[in-house]
This record gives sequence, structure tokens and C-alpha cells, in this order.
Amino acid sequence: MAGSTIHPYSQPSGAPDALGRVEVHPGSGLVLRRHGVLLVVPVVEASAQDLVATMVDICADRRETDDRRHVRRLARLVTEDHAHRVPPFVCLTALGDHLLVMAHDAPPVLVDGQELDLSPGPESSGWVERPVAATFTSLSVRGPGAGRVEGPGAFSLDLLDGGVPGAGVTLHLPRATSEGASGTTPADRELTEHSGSQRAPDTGKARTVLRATPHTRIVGLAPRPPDQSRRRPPLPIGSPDRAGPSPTQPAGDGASPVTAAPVHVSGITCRCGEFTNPDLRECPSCGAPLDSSRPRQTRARPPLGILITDDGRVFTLTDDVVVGREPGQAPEVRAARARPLVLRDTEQSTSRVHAEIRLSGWEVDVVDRGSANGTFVSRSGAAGPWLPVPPGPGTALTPGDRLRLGKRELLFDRYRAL
Amino acid sequence: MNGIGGYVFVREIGRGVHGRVFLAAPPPRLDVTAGEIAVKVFSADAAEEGFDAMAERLHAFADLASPRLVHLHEAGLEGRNAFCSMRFEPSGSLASPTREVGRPERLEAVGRAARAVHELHEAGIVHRGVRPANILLAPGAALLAEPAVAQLLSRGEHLTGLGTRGDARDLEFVDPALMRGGVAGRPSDIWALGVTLHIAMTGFGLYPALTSADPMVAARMFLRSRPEPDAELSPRERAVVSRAIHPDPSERYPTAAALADDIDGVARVRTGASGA
Repeated sequence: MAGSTIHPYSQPSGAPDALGRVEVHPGSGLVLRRHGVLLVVPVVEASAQDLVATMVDICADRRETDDRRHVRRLARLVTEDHAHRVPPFVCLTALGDHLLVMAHDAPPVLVDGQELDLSPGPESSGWVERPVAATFTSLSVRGPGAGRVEGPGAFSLDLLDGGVPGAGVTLHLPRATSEGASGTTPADRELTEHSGSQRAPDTGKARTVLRATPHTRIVGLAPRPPDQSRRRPPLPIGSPDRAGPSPTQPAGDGASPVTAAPVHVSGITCRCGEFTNPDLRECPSCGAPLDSSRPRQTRARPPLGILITDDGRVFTLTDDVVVGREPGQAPEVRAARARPLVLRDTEQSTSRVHAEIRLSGWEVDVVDRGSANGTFVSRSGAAGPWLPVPPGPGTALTPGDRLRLGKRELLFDRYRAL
Repeated sequence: MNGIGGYVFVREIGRGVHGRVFLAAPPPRLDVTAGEIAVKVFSADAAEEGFDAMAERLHAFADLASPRLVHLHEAGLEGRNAFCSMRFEPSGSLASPTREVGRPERLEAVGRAARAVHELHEAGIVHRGVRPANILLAPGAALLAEPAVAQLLSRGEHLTGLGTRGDARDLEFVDPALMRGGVAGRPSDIWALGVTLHIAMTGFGLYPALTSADPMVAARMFLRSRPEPDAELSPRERAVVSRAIHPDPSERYPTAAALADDIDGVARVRTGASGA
């Protein structure tokens, strides 16, 4: 599609190229759109390829906006000896206020869900012509084996010009609105001018322009009558978390906590009340020297720190954490032994399972899980130096350390109770 | 951006971390007899199931049909852009008013917003987005804007803090207890009302040092500091703010209505009205 320009939708106002939005149903035939003509050949067999090529030339040749010569020429193809060889097809031609449907052995054509009457007239000549007023919303032609354009597995592209493989089309004619003029932008006007010209530009070679159709949903928010199923009780008064910090999880998401039993460790309780690592010289909370002769106690381990992500999320470390763009894939996370921390970016610089933060006893280690771009730690701020983190046993972390995973960063800091 | 979902944009009227707001002309399907329309386009990349959750949340807000809440028209999704249309309020917000707003009026607006928040809480809804930009001014009234929905749009991601496009200055509206893994509820909205009240009274927030562009450092500083209301406020005013932003959520005002009562009390004192 080099050199093609994609224009936003404009409101067609009886413009010659008034085929509306053309969605192609995937398939092994051919769909061709050129200058207000749409040719649909649902199945193209090897033996008929020369004929199909001729049909394409006929349709692509149309220049004038009310030209019907291509229809005459297609009709001649069918009525001559080739009749039995010409594959089933439908040719739609936009003619201002109506669409001309020409069909030969064609699959059903549905206009707003109703099948168009394509039964041959008294002079059965192998093909049928019917005009359809351009007041419909959708028109579809679907050959055998045509894929869908909506729902799972669908292929929602809008063919603006050119030929693509396909077995059917669905046209959507937007409703003309009264604000057509007020809403125009320079780009809209460009498209209208272009299709308003009598002569289509000579492109010299085939050019296919496809664009993704944006899927639109609208929900009206008018107040609804009260409904028992939607009834919500008033929020509880007071803090819901009286028991203390919740386990490692991002806030407010309702995710169920890790169900593993809390880890118990042996430690010392400082005079200030902080239960902490007996190997430390000073209490991390109050700073007073830690008296190692104080009796050891075995209690539930408090959080060993917090992880702050470079997008401002804070995780309290009570369990192991697996970090990556799809940490849910790690076996430890599946088994609820570790929590997921999603870190991703548009360049996929973080691996699916990139690194792990492991808690053992009072120690916090970071381990690289075989990531593509590696895991690095800096003990001295953003400037580094950044040292690579090996796989298990990894590197021990101290508060203030920064971690770099691909382009994303984490900061490990002390945990502070409220 | 020229428009979305049939709305045609006239001009941009606001831009924040969660999206952009435009003045717009409505599509014909919307039977709107009075007023202009504002359309907020959310910057988060939206997925379909996230959109359903967002639409339901906005609808729950709209169901209350309260004169204290901004009037919502539609929620929509076009491609990966989610948006919401609402009645346009020409006087702007407490963060960007389009006319001069005196201190008494600002105080009154926060008081009204607190009552609006209380109404949401009684209906089981947490706002999660209380801040001056979400308190809209209207003649003789103040309206609370739609609740935060950005956290619902990105499937599987949680934005307790800032999100990747975050501005460190928005951090101060997030209850630290929430950042540490707490659950959003009355206390976290009351925290945000406290911070908003301080800004309305003094013109600045509680964390003047939070200008670092690095969200990690800002979060770290934020979690380590204990904010104090400005010394220029009266003892009574400081007491109201302090109670709203107490580090222990259970020590804060139990309801937003109780906070609103105290804000009204402060407003009366300042204007020299009798009583209280």
C-alpha cells in the first residue's frame, strides 16, 4: 500500500462511488472494487482463471460514472459460448441513487436481511439484472465457504479499492445526515472531490487499499428503573483493612490473595515494637542499635519491603513475586506460591517471565529467569553502574536498589507500616 | 482528533492524565434538547471487556440521577478508544475555572462535592477520582464529575498510582493506604477530598516537593512523608484537613457527609456568619 492515503469516513451524498463500506468475507474467490463497481466471484477455479482475468479487466476499465458498458460486456461473456465456464458472480454498480445488481448463477444476495429476487425472467439468458434503491443499510453476497466479518475469527477490513481474495462482501451504507456539511474536515472534502471527478485517475497498475474498520459500540446512560440485581449496599464505614497490610497485590482489584500459609521466622523485637531480622545492627524502623542478646521469637514474617514500579504501582512484599509481561504463565504463580507483577511496554522489552523476587527468611533476592534482555541492579541510583543479575541464587537486594528489566524499572524500598 | 462515535468535536477543552475532553456536537441519535455536550476520550488502550465494566460503572453513577452529579449521556467504544459524553458545564472546574472564583465559593464547591461523594458511597460506589478537575462549577451549584474508570479499561493492569503516562503531581490524590495494597472505599475518597479541600483553601497541595518527573522516586517520597496542612490556615481549617488525611484510614471522618458538615462549618466562620 505504498503511497496510498487513508481517508477518514465521510458522509456520502449520492457521490458516484457510493458503495459505502465494503467488508470482504474471506474465501478463495476474488473480490474487486474499482470506481463504484464491485465484482464478487466467490469461487475461482484454475480452469476459469482466464475468464476471471477478462472479467477483472472489464470491470477495472470503467471510467465514466454512469457507464454501464462493463455490464454489457460481462453479459456478452455469459451469453457467448463461455456461458457454462463463466463462474458464478455478482457485479454491483453504484449509479447515484441506486445500485445495479447483475448476477450469474449467483449465491443469494441479501438486502437488509431479505433475499433479493434474482429469478430469471422469461428470456433466460444466463444472467439477471436488478436495480436496488440505495436506501438499504446493508447488502450482502456470500458464496459457499465465505468466512464471517463479525465475531471471533472475523476479518473486518474495508476494501476501498483493488482486488483481494474473498468469497463474499457485505456493504454498509451509512445513513446520510443533515450535518454532512458542518462536519467536514479538509480530509473529508478531499475524498468527496476525488470521487466527484468524472474521470478516475489513471493509476497505471493495480493498487489495493484496505483499512481496519473500527468497531463501534454505544451505551446510552439514561437512568434505569431500580432493579434488585443491580442493588448495591452502602459502602462499609471505616477502614476495611484493620488487620494490617494486605498481602502482595495491587490495590482495589479484588484479586484473591495467595492462599499459602504465612511464613514464620525467628527474629528479635526492638524496643520500639518492630519485629525484625536478628542479624541487623540497627532497627530499620527506629534506628536504635539492635540488642542481639534480646530473646528470639518466632512469629509471622512482616512484609520485607515494597516494590515501586516506574508507573507508580506499589507492591508490598509478603510473598515471592514473578515479574514479566505475562507472569501468570509461571508455574509458581499458577500454583499460587508467587504473585504476578505485570510489566510490559509496546516494544516487548520485558520477557513473559522475566525475573523473580524471592523471599527466604529475612532476605530478599532478585533472580533472572532467563530473560531476553537481562535483569540489572543498581545500588547507586538511576545512573548506575548497572550490574547483571544472574539466574538462581540471584542477587540480594537492599532498600534503595533499582532493578532494570528491559526498558522498565522497579525500585525496592523498605516497608513502612502506617 | 475530529470526532468519535458520531460526535463531531468543536474544540478541545481539557487534557489530563486520563484523557482529553472536547466540546462536541451530538449525533442525531441523541435527543438532546438543551445544552452543549462534552466528550471525554480516555487515553487508556481499551479492550472490550474493560469497556463493559466501564459502561456499567458509569451507568450506576448515572442511575442516581442526582442534581449533585454531572449529567451523563452515553458511553462508547470506537476501536480501542473509550469515551463518555456528558452535559457541558461552561464554568469549568475548580482546577480550571472559566471565571473568577473566590475562596468562599471554592469552599462551598468542595463541600457540595463531599455531599455528592457521600451520595455515591451510600449507593455503594467509590469515586476514586476526586480532585479539583473533577468538581465542575455551575450557577449556584457544584457538580461532581464522572468516577474514575481508567483502571477498568486496561485489561489485567492496575493503576493504583499513576499509569505510564502519569504525572507525579497526581499522586497526592491517591490515599497512601491504597497504594500499599488497601482497598478503595470511603476513607480513600475522603483522603482525596481532604487534599482537594487544602488546594481550594490555599491554592496548593500537601506535597510541594513532589515535582520529580520520575514516578518511582515520587512514589517513594510520597510514601515516606507525612503531610502537614499549611500553617497559614486557621486551627479549625487545619483540623478538618488533618482529619481527612489521617495516615490511619480508620481515624478519618467516617463519612463524606461528616466532612461536608465540617467544611460548611469552616465556610460559615470565614464569612463571619453567625452560629457554629
